[in-house]
Amino acid sequence: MKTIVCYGDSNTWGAIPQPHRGAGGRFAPDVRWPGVMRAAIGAGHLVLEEGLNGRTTSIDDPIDGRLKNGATYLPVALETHAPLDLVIIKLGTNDLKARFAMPAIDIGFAAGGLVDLVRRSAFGPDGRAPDVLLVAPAPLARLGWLAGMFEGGSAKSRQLAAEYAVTAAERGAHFFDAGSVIASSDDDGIHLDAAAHSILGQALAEQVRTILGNP
Amino acid sequence: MNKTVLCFGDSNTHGTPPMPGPDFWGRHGETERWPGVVRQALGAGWTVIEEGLPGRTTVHPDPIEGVYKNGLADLPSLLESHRPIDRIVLMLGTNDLKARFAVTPEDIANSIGVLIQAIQASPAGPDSKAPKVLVVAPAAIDEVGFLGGMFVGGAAKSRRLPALYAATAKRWGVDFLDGNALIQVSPVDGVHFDVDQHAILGKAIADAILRSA
Repeated sequence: MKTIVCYGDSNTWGAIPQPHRGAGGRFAPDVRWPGVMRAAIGAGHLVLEEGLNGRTTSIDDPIDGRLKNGATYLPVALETHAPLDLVIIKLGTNDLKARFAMPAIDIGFAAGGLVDLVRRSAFGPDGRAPDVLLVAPAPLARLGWLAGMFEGGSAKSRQLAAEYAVTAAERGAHFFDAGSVIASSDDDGIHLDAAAHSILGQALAEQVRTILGNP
Repeated sequence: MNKTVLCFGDSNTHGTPPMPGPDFWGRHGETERWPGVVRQALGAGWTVIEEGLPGRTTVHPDPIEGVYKNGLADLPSLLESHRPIDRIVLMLGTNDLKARFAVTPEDIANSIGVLIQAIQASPAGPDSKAPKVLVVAPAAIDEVGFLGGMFVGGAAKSRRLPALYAATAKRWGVDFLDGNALIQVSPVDGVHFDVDQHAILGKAIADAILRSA
């Protein structure tokens, strides 16, 4: 049995795009990308979901709460689900909020810090470190009511894939650019619709097969 | 949509086998540890999510094993990550028995009450209501093996937890199961359970979940 943790934000949790403030909800387990990936890679894999709305790479959120800091919570997720064969990290979108003032290069380094946490841990098989697949989130789309919160974020979002590719290569982690296969929804500019979840889940299943081999 | 059960606990929810010494990386299999037994017993229509962190305390950051062992600090992330959640099985308190935390059995039971209140204040259940809670009193520990020194004084305290947990559960109007009446820790390390004990506990927890409609 190979165990994979999907560590992410609302787009891993499965938030439905929100055309207006107060809209919301969660896609069903088989619709969101970890569920699609689970079905696609099939038996012999345990796919665990750790997606939190608003999670950042490594920043305490003064508005949504310190619990949104992805670096603080990562050790909990790793040790809880150990032994882990692979950790998929898909974060960075919430770092684009204007209040964090993070340039793309900083978000790349912060994502690299998460990779380091995994690669220096003993939470893989036999006390070794798990493998990491770092996924760059798709760039922002038409923002609508979230435009103010993400002011300046669109341009930065298009630089994340290049930054993440470098950060992953430096650390010997695997890399995938979600923006190469999907786009964010124009309903709110940040979330993925069901079709995008399906495409992403299939694409990541393919990546996981390549990384872990057949069980 | 399936009903969701979140198993919120420590190494005995994670499935850590009795430990012969430090630097031990074992884990009971997915179908052997009690959340897996619950998953099997409940069957179709239920999703059982495992959130057992070795060393997790009720409300204390651990100065040795890490600040992230504080269950109260993790709880908001877990509630929000896995919502909507129908049931939460809460089995904690064993790590609070470590001598370095210097808390009384009453304090530990009150800490369980703090966790219950945090759950009851959350909108993480169906229709933004609070999830339903089942408190499980952990099996009493023994001060043996390489962990014995860490848990000095803990064995006597642990024997008082079931009655105190029952009172806490009653106070906050949640379900209660006395794990100590059902299973025993291993003589190898005095803290963790063998597979046969996980099977007994898992069946009892599944029954308790089904009894509480």
